[in-house]
Amino acid sequence: MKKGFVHEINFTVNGIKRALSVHSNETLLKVLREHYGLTGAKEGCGGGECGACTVLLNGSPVNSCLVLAVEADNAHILTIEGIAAKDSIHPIQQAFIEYGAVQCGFCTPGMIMTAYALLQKNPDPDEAQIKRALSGNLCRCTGYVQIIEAVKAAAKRMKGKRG
Amino acid sequence: MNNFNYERPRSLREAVSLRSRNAGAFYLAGGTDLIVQMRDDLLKPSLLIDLKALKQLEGIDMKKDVLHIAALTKVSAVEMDRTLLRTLPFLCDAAGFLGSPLTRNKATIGGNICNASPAAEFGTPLIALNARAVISDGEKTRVMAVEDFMTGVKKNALKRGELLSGFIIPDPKGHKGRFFKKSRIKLVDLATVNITVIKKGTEYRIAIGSCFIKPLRIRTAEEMLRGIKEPDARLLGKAARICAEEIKPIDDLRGTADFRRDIVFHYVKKLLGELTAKGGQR
Repeated sequence: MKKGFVHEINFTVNGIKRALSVHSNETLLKVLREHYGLTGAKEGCGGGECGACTVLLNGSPVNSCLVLAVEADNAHILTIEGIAAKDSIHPIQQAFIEYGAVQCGFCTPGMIMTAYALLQKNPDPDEAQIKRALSGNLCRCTGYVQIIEAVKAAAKRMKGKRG
Repeated sequence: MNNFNYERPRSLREAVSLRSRNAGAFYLAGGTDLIVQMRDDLLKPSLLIDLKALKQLEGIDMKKDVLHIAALTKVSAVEMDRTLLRTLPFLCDAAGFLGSPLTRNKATIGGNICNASPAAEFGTPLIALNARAVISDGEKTRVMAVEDFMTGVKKNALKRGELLSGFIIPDPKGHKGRFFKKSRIKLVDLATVNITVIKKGTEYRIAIGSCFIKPLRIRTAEEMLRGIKEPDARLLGKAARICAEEIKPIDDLRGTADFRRDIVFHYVKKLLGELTAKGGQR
């Protein structure tokens, strides 16, 4: 990594190794969207309040609007575009569709990434745990009930699959 | 956001040396406060010194009845640490009230204290625990009370060639405590008032945040209760009244000064009551 304004970073995005030259003041969110066309993560507030930009950084959900791209050197990044197996959608995505948990869709990628991280850690969360986990992801459309139902349904299905 | 130099030093000595050589430099810990301020152009550092590579500044460790929490320990790690959940669950509660889970995965306990907001979630539990801040200049360390480390709104006691490396909590066993945070919405909000009360044997400690330029211990009230095993409701009310009188809150968007005094009075009384009543575990 160079010193100064411009830095070479190496990181893994959705399983693919990437090398990129970034400015110190570019956020991870900007790089994902503008360099790689991964436009699932959105900039809502740009201040770490809304969660629309949620991606997993080394397995933990974070607000990518508050991560500098240069900080992601050597990191593993997972975005909404990387959770499904090829030619299919992830069980959480399927459940969001079925339960009407998507309305305008702006918060959805962030919601799903947070739910994904939750279910990785805790495959059988109760409602209180789901609400708490999603407390940093705001939705202005659904009123949250459908989202919580969708996460519950996804948990059940994913557990069933694991046997 | 302005452009700036960025370095990720490999040693503590290098980190403090960078800081002492660059007047406009800031340390980057979790960045959940710093980067927000930079994005809003409220801060324009010439250099960010990212501390991420300093792995020795991360972790929670109990050694010979002294608890060490390194400065770069993530808030989510404090929230879920098994040793802490058993010995000091109210410290985990405080962690769990800091921002959202997304913030807690990046924010650090040291950053929270260095940022020195009067509403800092870790302010009241750490000062009530008599926690000490460990400050390094790359070679020597000095130690001071966290209470003195936070010197005012967004101000701390670090000198230019220094860095906060962590916290020491002496003798962490046997504390019963409660953390309470009043905010406009239940989660993901800054505190209108936060309170930590602790009972250790017959010693009481009361710390109040968001009601002065920094978190405050109310020693007059603590002294009044000292030595009393089961203070009655009248005495607890008296202690709580002292707290409400000694704080110096302001009116702001999160509540009026009067509201804050009311909250402090009622909740100090309630929380102390929970600690002293039979079955008041935690």
